[in-house]
Amino acid sequence: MSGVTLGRLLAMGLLTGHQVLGGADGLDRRVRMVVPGTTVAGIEELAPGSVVVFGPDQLVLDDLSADLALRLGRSAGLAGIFAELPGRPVPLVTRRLADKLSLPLVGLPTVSPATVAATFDPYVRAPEIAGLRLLGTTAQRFQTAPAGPQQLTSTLAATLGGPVALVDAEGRLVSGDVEAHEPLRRPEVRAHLDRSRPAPGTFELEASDTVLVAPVQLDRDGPAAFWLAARLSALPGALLEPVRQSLGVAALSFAVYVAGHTATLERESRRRSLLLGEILDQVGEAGGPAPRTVERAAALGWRLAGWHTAVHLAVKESAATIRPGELAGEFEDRLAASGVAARLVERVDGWAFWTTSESEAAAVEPGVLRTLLGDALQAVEADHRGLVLCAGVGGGYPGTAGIARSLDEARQACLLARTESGASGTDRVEHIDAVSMKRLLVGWYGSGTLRSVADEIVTPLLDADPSGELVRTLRLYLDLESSTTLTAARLGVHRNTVMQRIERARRLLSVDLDDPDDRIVVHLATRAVGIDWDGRS
Amino acid sequence: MSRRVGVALDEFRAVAVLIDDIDVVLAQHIVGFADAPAAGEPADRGRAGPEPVGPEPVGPDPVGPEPTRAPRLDLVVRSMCRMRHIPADFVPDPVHHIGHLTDLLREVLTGLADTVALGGVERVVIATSAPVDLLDRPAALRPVGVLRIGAPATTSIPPLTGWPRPLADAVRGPVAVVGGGHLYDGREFAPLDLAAVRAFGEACRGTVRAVAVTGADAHMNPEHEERARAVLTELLGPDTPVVTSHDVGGAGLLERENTVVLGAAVAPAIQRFTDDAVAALTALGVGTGAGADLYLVTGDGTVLPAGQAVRHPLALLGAVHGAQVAGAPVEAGLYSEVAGVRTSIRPLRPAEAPSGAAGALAAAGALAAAVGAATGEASGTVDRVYFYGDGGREECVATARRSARELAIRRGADPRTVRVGEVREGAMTYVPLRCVRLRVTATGPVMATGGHPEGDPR
Repeated sequence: MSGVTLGRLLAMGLLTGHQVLGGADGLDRRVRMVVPGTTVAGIEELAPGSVVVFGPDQLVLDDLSADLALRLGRSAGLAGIFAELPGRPVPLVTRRLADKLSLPLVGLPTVSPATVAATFDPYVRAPEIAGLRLLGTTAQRFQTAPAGPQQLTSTLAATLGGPVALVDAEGRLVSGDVEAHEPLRRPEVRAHLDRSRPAPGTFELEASDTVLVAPVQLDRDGPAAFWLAARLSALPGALLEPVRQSLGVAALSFAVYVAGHTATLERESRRRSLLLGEILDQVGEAGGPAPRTVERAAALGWRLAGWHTAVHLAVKESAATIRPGELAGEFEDRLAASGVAARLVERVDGWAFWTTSESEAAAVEPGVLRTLLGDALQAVEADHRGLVLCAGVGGGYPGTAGIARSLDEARQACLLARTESGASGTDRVEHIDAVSMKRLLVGWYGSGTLRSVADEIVTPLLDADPSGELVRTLRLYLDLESSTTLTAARLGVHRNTVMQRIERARRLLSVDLDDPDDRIVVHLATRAVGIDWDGRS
Repeated sequence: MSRRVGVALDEFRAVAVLIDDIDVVLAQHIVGFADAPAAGEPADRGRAGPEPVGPEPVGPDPVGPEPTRAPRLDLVVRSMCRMRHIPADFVPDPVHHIGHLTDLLREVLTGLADTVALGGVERVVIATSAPVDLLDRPAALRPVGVLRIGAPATTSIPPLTGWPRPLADAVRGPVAVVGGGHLYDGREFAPLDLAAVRAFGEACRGTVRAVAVTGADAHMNPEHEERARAVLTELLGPDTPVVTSHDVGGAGLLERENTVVLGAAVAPAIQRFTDDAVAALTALGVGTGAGADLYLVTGDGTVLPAGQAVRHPLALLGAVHGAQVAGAPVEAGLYSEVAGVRTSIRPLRPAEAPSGAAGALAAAGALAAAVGAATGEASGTVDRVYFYGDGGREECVATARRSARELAIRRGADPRTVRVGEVREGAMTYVPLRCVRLRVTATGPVMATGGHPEGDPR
């Protein structure tokens, strides 16, 4: 379609306060010209595809002459009739006749026919002008980055005259209209969004709707952090490129917002880390932390006096690139929803926070805290494919020194939590008291030298079976007190399979599994395998 | 594709046909009484009366066999048929009477729908004079309000003067002559007395089902009648028809007044019938989307949109006859133009005559009437005095032609194919001014309203 429709002309917003009184079915008819009207009878002289504009002296809408105008207009093949809105409501009979004839009847608060005709005519005769205007308006409105996703989608929707949606990298709606979100679930569109090199796309839908998508990329060769989608109906060919370009401009502008937003978050995070470092350093000094430090902590809402219980969080596994600031924010939100006000501080190997109560008695129950943390962990993991988190909880201690001690214990507990293989949330959260026995192991896991010994032991098994299934089977076997039956049940294989694998492992290992001391070492070694102790995923 | 349904309808018989755009009959259906009397025959048939049985569809042969079955009917009308004589004082309730008509309509359309799908039908045209035939039974009429706008002139002959007593007593409701009116050239004679109009309206509230408004020389200037209509509609509500004399046309005050009073007497029945007919069409799913348009046939064989029928009630007189005249040549395969059928209002029968027994539909002519309805054209007539201006007679003629054309278009005629007929001139003797009485009729096929116009660039 190369022309412009009356519907699109109205969507340009050149006329304020217009009302489509009837005949909306005909709004997708092509407009050839917009002309001021002379008399109602003169309608018969007009060319098909014209839109005629009548002033208040020529056509009164609450009069029988409106019916005559509609019938003559239909017969002449008009694309629409504009007239002034009368003081009284337009009769239902007239509106129904417009519907019946599929002839759009548009009312305006005041009409100067020559002005209206002159306003629209350029867009009708040269639709490229409409496209240029659209692009110009978009560029102007997005010169400064939007204040957030909501402003992005609402401004763009108003500019383009159709629904707009912003979705994240996984296709979930962040802000905007469902109408523009729905097509993104179709297979051909999904396939486009999942491509490794993000690129703009155009898709034709049924009922002459078009969906255009544009990626929001934070760096030129990176993945799309978001996708912007617009759904427009009856889009003339001449407007396709301008709309595509407008989408690109808006996407670029939004990328600026995201980058700035992220940078802010990261700056804040760094500040907090540094402050915590200062506090922990100054704990040992006489009189505790310096007054200036205490002041800054208070400004951040940190409590230094009272009974503190610290929590340490870490990422055990993750699949895609995750921005740390984002994860911390999500976690804070989930905890807040459960009633725990947490301000996460980034640390070398994860994040930490502490909760404070007036006294030991008033401190939150460890079991309760574990459950809340487990739920929050699961909720955050659900939003990110392939992400596995773990957490550790320290004991409760008073004062600033207590913060340091609890944080330390929390880190140890988290270390242990990393070695767990459980699937449920609570398994990933370890409380230091609950693992008093396991404290002994902390030394083990924490020592780099001992870990390299473990690696040596396990390497032959990994060489033989790089998938790690052999190591996993051996670990489970040893966890389950050397029971082939239980191991087979847990793995879902035949008992003979387990026996074969253990036999194989015995042959490959340099140590003797029947020796109790050796067996313990092998057991510990298998539990330490596969965990990224030093880096942060 | 312009499919139309034509229906010819009276109390005893209904015939429906489906016509395509080149006027070929695609299907037809007839329901009626087994031995319903033919037009003009008395009800006394010496037989026990028909047994109601189900209707039977008839094939597409245009010259179809006689109807032999009858539909389910309510008790009153069934008993009407069984009686040998219908007693003079039997007054069928007009409401019942109309309900029965719509039952027959529904019956015949359902039967047609069983034969062929009615989803794409663009319009349904009904030829029936039954609502207006109530004038034959004065006892069945309800009182109407009569308003004349012409004081201080026109008071020497009050409204309803010279009417037969029974008829006048039946229709007389509140009567008022109020100040206002125009002169022979359209100038205002006296200012309209709105307070009096309002008082008249208050008197009418709750007592009448319709109002007749006649203004002096309103055919030259309808302004006072329209203003009175606005006030009365506000007071009495949109369901009370207000019939005005400028819709009738013609120069005589008394002639116009008598016409609108008679018209107002039957207007409620017409309103009820068109409302029920539209509801029946909607319920049966006739027509697409916004529904099929409904038209009624007038006495000269042309058609009128149903919504406008209430303003021209007496136009329905002789509708079936008019439809037959228009339809017979089409049915016989001869396409001829109907130049116009002169119609006169037959004298009102005395109340004692056997009433309600004579159906307007003769068996043989029933189909022609239905075809005539379906193929009927819309028309508009102007009949008034034009005063010579600067353009002289030619300008008056051009104005008259234009007005007739616009009226026809307002009644549904397609602007592209409407034809303006001969302009008939009546000399105005004994009038000192240069003027001429002109009468002209414009006629044309009804405009197709479905879908989009041809040649539409999409």
